[in-house]
Amino acid sequence: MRSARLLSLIALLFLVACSNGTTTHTAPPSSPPPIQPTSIPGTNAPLPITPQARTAAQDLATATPLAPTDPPMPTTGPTATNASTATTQPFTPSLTKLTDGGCCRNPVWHPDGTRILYTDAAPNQPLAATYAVPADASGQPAIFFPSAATVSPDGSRIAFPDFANGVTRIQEFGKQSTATIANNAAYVWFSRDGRQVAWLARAPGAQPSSNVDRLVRVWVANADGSNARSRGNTVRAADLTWFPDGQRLLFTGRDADGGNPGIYVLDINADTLTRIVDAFSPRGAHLSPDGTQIVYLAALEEKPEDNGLFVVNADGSAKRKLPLVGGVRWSPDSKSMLILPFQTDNGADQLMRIDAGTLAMMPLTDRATLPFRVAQDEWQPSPDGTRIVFNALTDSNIYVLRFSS
Amino acid sequence: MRHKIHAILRGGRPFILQLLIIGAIIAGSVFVGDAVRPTSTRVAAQANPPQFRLPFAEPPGPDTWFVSQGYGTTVWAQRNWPDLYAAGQGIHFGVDFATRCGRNVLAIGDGTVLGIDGPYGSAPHNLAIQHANGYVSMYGHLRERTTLVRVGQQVNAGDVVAHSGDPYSPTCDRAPHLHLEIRINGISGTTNPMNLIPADWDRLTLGVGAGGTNFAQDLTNPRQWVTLRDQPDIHFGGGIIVNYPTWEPNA
Repeated sequence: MRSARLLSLIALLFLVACSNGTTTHTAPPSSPPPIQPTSIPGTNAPLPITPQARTAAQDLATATPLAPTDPPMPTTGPTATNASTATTQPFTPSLTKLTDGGCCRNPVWHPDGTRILYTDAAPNQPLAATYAVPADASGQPAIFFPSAATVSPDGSRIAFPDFANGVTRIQEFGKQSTATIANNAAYVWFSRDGRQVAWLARAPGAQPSSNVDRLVRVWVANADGSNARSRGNTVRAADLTWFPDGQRLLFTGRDADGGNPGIYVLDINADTLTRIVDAFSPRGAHLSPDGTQIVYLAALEEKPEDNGLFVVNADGSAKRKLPLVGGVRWSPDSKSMLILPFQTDNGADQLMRIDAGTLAMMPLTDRATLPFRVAQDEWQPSPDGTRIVFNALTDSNIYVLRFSS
Repeated sequence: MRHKIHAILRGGRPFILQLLIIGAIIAGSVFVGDAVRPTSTRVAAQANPPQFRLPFAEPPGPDTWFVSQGYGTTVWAQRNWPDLYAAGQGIHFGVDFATRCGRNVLAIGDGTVLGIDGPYGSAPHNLAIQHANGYVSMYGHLRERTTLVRVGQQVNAGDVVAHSGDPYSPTCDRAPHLHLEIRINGISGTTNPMNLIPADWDRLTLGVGAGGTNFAQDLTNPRQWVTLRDQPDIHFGGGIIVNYPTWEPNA
């Protein structure tokens, strides 16, 4: 017992020491210098051209394989190969490697479709910057904007946090003035035309559990900072998507009490909130670019037939079940969806297309001849619908997969 | 020990931290209730992890279970740590598996039942199993105080040891999930289960959302802790490690 007590005393001293601020992470500066958004996209001098497409498939093919003991993956729905109902298209897909060194996560397309944006450390500044790299690997990554930032879907504006002043700033490309949103430097979602932004502000209230989003209030403002106002009652939500009309917002969430989970539409002009999908655990809702349909994953429903990927009209009507589950995105034309299906083995990913009307599937890549793996569901279709950009599991670099001419 | 506990209660620390420290003392000192002393040491827990498996018999999928939150500096943890994860240095110090209440929970490895409803948090009920070389698996948010096993019982990987529950609702209609931790250094810290349990974790993130399976990027060190496997070990009561600027949707 004496030794046990001695051990417990040592444990106590250790815990007390740890609780006095010991940390394995360097704290950020308390007052980071204000960001000077003087670097307008495209002004960086081009660096030497280094085409890298030729080595991309080889890099992925020779990267670390998956553990041979990995268990089989979900059995819901047919496997990708078995579910194929159309022949592979004639186009030969290809991979282009854009970065080296395992640098990057959450790559997104610039709206012009020629560049990939991502956030990474910048020399001689305390906070990360936004980088751009040509989507065809015709140049090296270069700083696009001297801060983490998000570009409006129409490419007209850029928003970035000013942590020192607790605001989000919005700059219109080609203009010197900068708008200010007093929102505690929260992330903002641009409307399709870039003229409005929305954000979520935490509302007072206890957080009851993980797996339930926190209590928030939805705010909107004009991109010039004017007319900031909160909309609707408090809800539990984490993400927002603008409808193309700039009047409605889509989100997955719950009511303030944590009940009524589903997919909601908030009309910011009428200030009305409508639950268009009633689901026990809806996940990954994506609004089609034309704003007419939603694809989402329903899970943990009592009846097995109610689980899986579903497409519904934007008012919640005409619910249809897709034959596969997996990571899904809309094509820019809203006529089809791209999907990375769950596979029942540990092999490469396969990109497929699902027709939004007929639900017919077409494989866009072949797992044997063009192996690739996407990390953490981080991928996005290009604005022209011919490519995807993804973060590769095998080497943590950014790749572009072209699957159509 | 009584004097130590009184001293801690007078120490002015947050209540949850007081509970954690007291829990560590109790677990490290005597048999208390349904718990026995863990046998690990800091050195042993860092090496030679035992063979682990997933905590369910069924394959993943929308009908069965899926990963709703990974271990580490998730976006979800970034925005909720003051309410839920302050004791664990601000990160999500386990893996959340969304699943309906009542699903059989399996032992992830061979071992001995260390505690039932012990000082591990994860209400309403929990279970801890001692494994080789100082590793302890902890199963949280269980539906009921398990009667499937007893403290001191030997279990094998794959044995049914509990049933999953919902920490938010006794009727299981809000947030049913299993919270799985792998504790190290006695029970005073955790490590990433995704580095110890063979599974195709990245594929498990396909289509299930972003906040729990993406990570809040530290803008002062943007390449650190942004993948499912590159996540820090923590020790309970340590300093918050997620107080960094980040620009994530609703982080």
